[in-house]
Amino acid sequence: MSVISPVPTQGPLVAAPTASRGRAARARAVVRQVGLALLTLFLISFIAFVAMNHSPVQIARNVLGRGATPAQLRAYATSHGLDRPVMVQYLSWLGHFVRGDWGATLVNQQVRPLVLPAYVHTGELALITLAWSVLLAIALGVAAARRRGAVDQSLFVGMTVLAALPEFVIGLGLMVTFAVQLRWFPVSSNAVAEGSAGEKLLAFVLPSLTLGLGVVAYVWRITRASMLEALAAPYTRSAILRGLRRRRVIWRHAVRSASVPLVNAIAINIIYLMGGVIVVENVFAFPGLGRLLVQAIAQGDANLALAIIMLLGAVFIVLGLVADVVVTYLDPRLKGGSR
Amino acid sequence: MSVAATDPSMDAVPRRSRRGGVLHPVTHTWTGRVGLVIVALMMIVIVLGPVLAPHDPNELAAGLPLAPPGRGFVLGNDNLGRDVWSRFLSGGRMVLLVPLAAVGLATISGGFLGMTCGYIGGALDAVVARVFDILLTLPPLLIALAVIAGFGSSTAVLVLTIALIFAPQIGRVARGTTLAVVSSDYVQAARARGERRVTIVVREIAPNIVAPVVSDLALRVTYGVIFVATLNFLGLGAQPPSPDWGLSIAQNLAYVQVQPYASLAPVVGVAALSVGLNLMADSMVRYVSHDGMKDSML
Repeated sequence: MSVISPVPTQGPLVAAPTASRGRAARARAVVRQVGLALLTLFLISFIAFVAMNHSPVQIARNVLGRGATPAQLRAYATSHGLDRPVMVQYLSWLGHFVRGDWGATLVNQQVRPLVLPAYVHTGELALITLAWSVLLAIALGVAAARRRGAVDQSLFVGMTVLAALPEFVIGLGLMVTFAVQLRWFPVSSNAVAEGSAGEKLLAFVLPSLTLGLGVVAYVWRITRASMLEALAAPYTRSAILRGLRRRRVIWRHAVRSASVPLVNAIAINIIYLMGGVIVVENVFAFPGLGRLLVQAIAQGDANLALAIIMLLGAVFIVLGLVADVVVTYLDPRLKGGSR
Repeated sequence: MSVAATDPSMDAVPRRSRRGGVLHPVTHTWTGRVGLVIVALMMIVIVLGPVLAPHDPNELAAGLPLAPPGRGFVLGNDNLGRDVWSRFLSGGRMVLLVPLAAVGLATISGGFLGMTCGYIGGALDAVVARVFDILLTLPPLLIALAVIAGFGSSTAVLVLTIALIFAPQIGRVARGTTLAVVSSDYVQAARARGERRVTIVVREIAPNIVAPVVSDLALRVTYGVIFVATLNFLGLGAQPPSPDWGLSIAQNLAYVQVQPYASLAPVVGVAALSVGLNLMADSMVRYVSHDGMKDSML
């Protein structure tokens, strides 16, 4: 993220990094990132709230149905405080939300017990996917950078096409092949919510694969580019000339220095991963937040949609934050001072 | 260079005119050529398709529901008996026009703001840059869904929302490249010669930020196509009985075993358009970010 601006390698700060100064600089960088993350979450909630609550009549109609008379709509809006200024309503909603009162859905169910299991499923899906896809992408990226030529070229074509396809197209391709034709995996991932352990595992495969392929295509590209740069660097040549083994040079020297832009790229793309989650869950009927969100929006259920938007935002902002903090610790240039 | 690696257009050292400009790689690299051919084909389908369609795309029970190809229906009929081929020919307009309109709007607003701030600098620039940074942390799909939830999914809302999401992205690129150009030797030289401000902007700066900005716009159009197709697929964009590709895919998914063409035809449409556009954009981005020579052998 742009929060961590690259620091010139030869500056007075970098020249003599003391341990305590380095720690203070990192702490400051981390505090900044946490602050930015909170600000982002606040902005998301504000935009979403204002968008969904700008019209009291619309909300009243969503609750009372199309048959309601204007007088009934007005009465509902007044009795539920919908005629107050949006800012006041937002603060009141935020106060309740922070204290754990997430309100009720249109059919008067409590939002919290409805949303929390979906939250767990989405979190599992995101973490599993992130883990395997990043590892695979790095392995393939290193392979492509080492052997330029046929391996690199065919990976390049494949990844370019993969990166250009919308998630739902990839998902449908996988579904038609592996669920409809081969019948290896279920078409619907409903088992994630209410199946046995085995069924649950099988239901995760296709959604995670769909989501992960997009990540692989992107992270592969960054890995390849930063590995090419690292392999061409003088320190790599000197390591080879010192007689170190190839494998050691690549994994200890080159990958290490290539890891900073890589983790940066992952941090930036975690918010795009979230978009993917929403799509993939709807393709495979995966019982997570993304599917619930689209249903809530289609029904005009503001409380439910808002709670989900907050949770989805929180999951992915925390994931991005973790990646940002990892960068802070990986990048030796940040030892001496940030900004 | 940690930031540069994720955003090639930011560190592109602006240079004075190179042969053929930013469109050069589209016709002179294999990625660009393949992309161009695919996009040209899709444009023909999208522009002429509605005229060439043999049936009204919304005519119910034109044939038997879920009938396989044959008897005057090249790709058979969907679950309501509508002609799949005619619906394919008529269904691409929205996924192309909405992103184009949105990117145009975002360029006029964000691009102009970014360029002006990059040129003027100072406090205004610092504030705008920070605002861009904060807006960039917002997750696009989530914001779009929230806006659609509140304001409905009319075409105008879609265009405005996507433009809003793209404006800071385009703005950041425009600002970054302008900043780099402003400090370059030839702008310094023009200043030293005593050229007027307008002349400097028009003759020195504008021609040199065109390449990175245009390559970035091409990428945005690609993302926009994917974005709109996705919204339509989720049922939050085009509404029935529109023959839109994204919407058709979602509606015919349940019958994929009986009538695969009804969902496959629009899948091919969306996939071809996004892959073709991406290949073109990609060739431009790599040309601008200097590793064009290494990778253009593809």
